Amino acid sequence: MAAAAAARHCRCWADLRPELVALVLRRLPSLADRVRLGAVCRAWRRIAGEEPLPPPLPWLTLLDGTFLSISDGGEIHRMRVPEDASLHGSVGNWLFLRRLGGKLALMNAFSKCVVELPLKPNNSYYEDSMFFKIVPLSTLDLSSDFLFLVLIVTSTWQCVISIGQRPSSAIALKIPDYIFDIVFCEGKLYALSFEKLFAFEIVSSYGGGKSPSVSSMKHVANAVKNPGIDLENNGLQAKDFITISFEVFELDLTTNSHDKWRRLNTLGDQALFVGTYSKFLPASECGAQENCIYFMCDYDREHWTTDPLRDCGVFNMSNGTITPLLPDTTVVRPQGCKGLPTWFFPTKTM
Amino acid sequence: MASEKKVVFLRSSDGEAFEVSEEVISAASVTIKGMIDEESPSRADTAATTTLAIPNVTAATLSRVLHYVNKHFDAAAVVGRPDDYIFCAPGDEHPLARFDDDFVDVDNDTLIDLVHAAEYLHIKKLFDLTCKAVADKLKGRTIDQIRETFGIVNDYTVEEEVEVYRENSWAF
Repeated sequence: MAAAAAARHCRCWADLRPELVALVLRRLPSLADRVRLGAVCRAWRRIAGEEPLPPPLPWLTLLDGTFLSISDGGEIHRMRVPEDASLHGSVGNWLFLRRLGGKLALMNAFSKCVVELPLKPNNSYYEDSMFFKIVPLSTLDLSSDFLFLVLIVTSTWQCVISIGQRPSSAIALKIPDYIFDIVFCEGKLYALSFEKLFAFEIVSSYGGGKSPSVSSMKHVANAVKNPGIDLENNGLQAKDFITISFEVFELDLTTNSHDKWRRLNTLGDQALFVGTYSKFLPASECGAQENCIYFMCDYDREHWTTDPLRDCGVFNMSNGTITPLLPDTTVVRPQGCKGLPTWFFPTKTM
Repeated sequence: MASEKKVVFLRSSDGEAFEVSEEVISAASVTIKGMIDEESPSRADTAATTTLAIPNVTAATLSRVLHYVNKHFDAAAVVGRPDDYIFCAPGDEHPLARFDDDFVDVDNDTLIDLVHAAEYLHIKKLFDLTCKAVADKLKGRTIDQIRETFGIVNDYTVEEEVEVYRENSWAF
């Protein structure tokens, strides 16, 4: 009968049409869920490999060397990191590592491929340093001359910027101010101290055999005036901080006005994952809440054993409320501590 | 005239006919709107009611789809009928969020029939809802659980299986 034939129509999930599997994949915010779905059978594996997917939700590195996916279940992943390495951040699928002896390297978390980064040799700054941030200045392509910068903060709060180019050239530059963040945006490098914003021009050698160099350093704006309490004079330390609110400012360098910062009241349909390695993601596509700031405790540069979940949450810009980052907060013991907590934004294609 | 409440009949693959407001189904389904538009010139001068064949959808699925369509696309029903507010708890993002949750709380076969029906009938809201429901069923599952749940046979060769595991062992 026609009815019986119709009732049997497409009952088997393996026969789901490729477009449908792709649509389901797009609705899985967790990379692990996508990988598992893509591994179920040949047909689905092919689709998962070919389909361009939105970014998944980021992971958070935990003190015991594991990674916590902030999707629904808060799944923990164990990614093998070399025994002698401590973790200091991430660039896409690459983890930024400091190896025993002070050498810096990037390691692909999935393929385990390691790229050593040149640093100016015999530099005492690296030995007593407590904080590193890597900023890629060119795309990370193993075949080309990868240009990058590392911000180094020593235990005496001195700041050094090291600019390197693979395979082997590097310079180091001591900065008189304490720099607490540095970003690369539209071909320019910006460094923020407590009072000033600096812009750097960088000249790379591109095969000329010379080291990259900084051709200018300009004070382009003042920092946003912090109306908050004077933390140090109140005897407070980073380990006592609890986040209660966020204010977001946008820099407008086209204006001649003294005040180049504009307050933003909304992030629109974006979610901001804030930290040493911050990133905006399209909220609805990656399964995050729009107009929200996801934060965790990665700001205590003096104490490597600070639990990133000690001060974490999701700040909603529209109503000013903070909701938990995870349904029930995972307890992490600072065992086998391997560097500072960081967001990790996997971009793996399956 | 457009102001009169016109109805159309939809005939499922197993021969059952369902009555639905032309205005409501046209707002919901791009496919059926297209069918009605095609029919229009020939029926303008007759009083006969149109019956459209929906060959890819069974009666069981079609009746569910129409239940959804009437809830979501009949403006009078959504706004005016007090019983809809029973489904709407304080804090619900959308007045029909609860209805939607219940709607897709069905077994896997029913759900996949709904996905296919929503795709064929081109009802975007229902398609998004059902695809998300499928995704939710897959969250946090192991590969073996996914295969078992959806009756999928592992068709890898031993070599492929080793390769898949090597690439993705962190997620397994």
